[in-house]
Amino acid sequence: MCNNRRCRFPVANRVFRLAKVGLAACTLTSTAAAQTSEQYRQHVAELEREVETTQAALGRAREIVLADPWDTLQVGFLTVITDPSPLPAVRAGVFKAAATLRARLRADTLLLRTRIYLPDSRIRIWSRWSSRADLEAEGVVASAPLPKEPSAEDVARRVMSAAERALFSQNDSVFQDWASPSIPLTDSVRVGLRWTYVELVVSSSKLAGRCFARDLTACGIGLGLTAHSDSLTSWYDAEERRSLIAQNPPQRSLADWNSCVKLRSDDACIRYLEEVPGNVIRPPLSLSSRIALVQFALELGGDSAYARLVSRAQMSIADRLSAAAGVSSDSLLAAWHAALIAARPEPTTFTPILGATAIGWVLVLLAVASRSTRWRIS
Amino acid sequence: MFSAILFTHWKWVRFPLMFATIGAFALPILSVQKAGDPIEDTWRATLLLRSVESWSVWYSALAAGIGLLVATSAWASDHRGMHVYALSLPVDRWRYVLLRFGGGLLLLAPTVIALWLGAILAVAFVELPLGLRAYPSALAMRFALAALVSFGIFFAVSSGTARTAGYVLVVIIGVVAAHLLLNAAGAPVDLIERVLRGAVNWPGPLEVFTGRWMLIDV
Repeated sequence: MCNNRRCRFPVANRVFRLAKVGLAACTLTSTAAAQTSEQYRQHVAELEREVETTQAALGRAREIVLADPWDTLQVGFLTVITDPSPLPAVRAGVFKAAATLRARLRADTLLLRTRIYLPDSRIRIWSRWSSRADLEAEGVVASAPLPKEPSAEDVARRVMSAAERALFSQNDSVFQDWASPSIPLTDSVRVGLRWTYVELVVSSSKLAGRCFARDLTACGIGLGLTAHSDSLTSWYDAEERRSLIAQNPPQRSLADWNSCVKLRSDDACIRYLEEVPGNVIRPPLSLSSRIALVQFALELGGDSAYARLVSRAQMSIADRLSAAAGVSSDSLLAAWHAALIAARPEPTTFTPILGATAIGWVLVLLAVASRSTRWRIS
Repeated sequence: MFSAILFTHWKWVRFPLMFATIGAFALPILSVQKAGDPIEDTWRATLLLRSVESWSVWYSALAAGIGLLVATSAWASDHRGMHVYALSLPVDRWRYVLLRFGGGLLLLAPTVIALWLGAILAVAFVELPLGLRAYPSALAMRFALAALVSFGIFFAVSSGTARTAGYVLVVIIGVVAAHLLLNAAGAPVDLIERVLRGAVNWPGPLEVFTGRWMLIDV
């Protein structure tokens, strides 16, 4: 397969080359010697003709390029579309990303609907695809512009990022709202679990505390897995609600705010929270924790886990994750909790073994230093 | 004799060492600047941890730096004077090395103590979110060990002749060359990675530099 512009557009190439030779010849002859007025006029006329010829050549080349404005790279089921460009890194990067995707998903068919567009920033001005509608018409579900001189790693990173978004968009809106904006496929699951551990430990929410103490029902509620109609009352108790409201100045009903904070009326707190838009009340376990749970379920599920997650659109989120992981919801949460505890960040510690090893090495180095070829003559 | 060696060594390194000591004192304090943000507890704690983590690399870099500074300065004058002064002293080589080594160790102490005091001060003025703990002494101990190992390595290298340094360089170049040759031959062996892993994993000498240098952690 040859995706190089030189291979794909031989006519345009030849025209370009001729134009360049013509321009170079003109420049050389015009500067070679002193000229009379007549010679000067002749040269100007020749130059004008050359400019016209070059412009015509450019126009023809542009027509040729616009008639077939992209290269298509097909690796397995992954389709990546790029501007016609001789960038050598693009091909290597796409193959690298495809290999990573295959290793993570273990089900290529999910990528069937994934057409990714990688615009080349150097020649994007020629691109026919300037609008979102044009891209959608060509079946492109995600795009990621390339930098000016991309390395294979740059390309692979962009393809991965676009593929993650494309795959995530295959989920229904309920799941997308729950785990927005996407599920990173390359990030380490352990890192996500480590931050969830930190979140549970430092959270002031009693629900998070219960979850940390292995109350799996509390974990489910905190992660938004169970369908509670009223998250305001299930996530936080009355005292926590009042404390959350007191941390921020009143935004809407001042009367309710005062009743809640000063008179400790829980009804007023709930009324106030129902009226306030935005993120005044956050779930006890953040979005990162949800994403870490999905990543953990995908890893636990192994082959085709993502495909199972996507295909269970009619189920609740807990059931979908359970299907992806290939175990029951309770088992998934139990395994997640165990992995979470195992992912506890190692604090800065000083152990006797560490100290003894370091001092041992220092003694060895001191012994090495005490010998010297320079002093051996004495 | 020890005090004379210590005093001259101190004179050579006092200015860079003073900057390093100030830096060591300031580092823990700078790392907890995010602690005062009036944000909800969980987010405050996460921000604080991320801030502390982002500064953590500087502890090991500083430890390596002061080790290098003190070790190379210990032998600089001997190399310049072709070791005439040292050979004229009525002491054995091993004893002279011990004197230089001991002087270097004492010069490392102010920086380590400054870091320890800075860490204690930093955590004293921070209201730690629930669930987090401060590790000022463990951090200072780790810093002391890292500085000691760095000092030991560079002290051993500096104490040798130019030929010894050449040998060390040849060994390093040899490892890199072997790695490139093996890769060119298609052998799936990452020699450099193996050597580095050996150095930073127990019982390697650089193990003390690895891990998380967190003043505040769970």
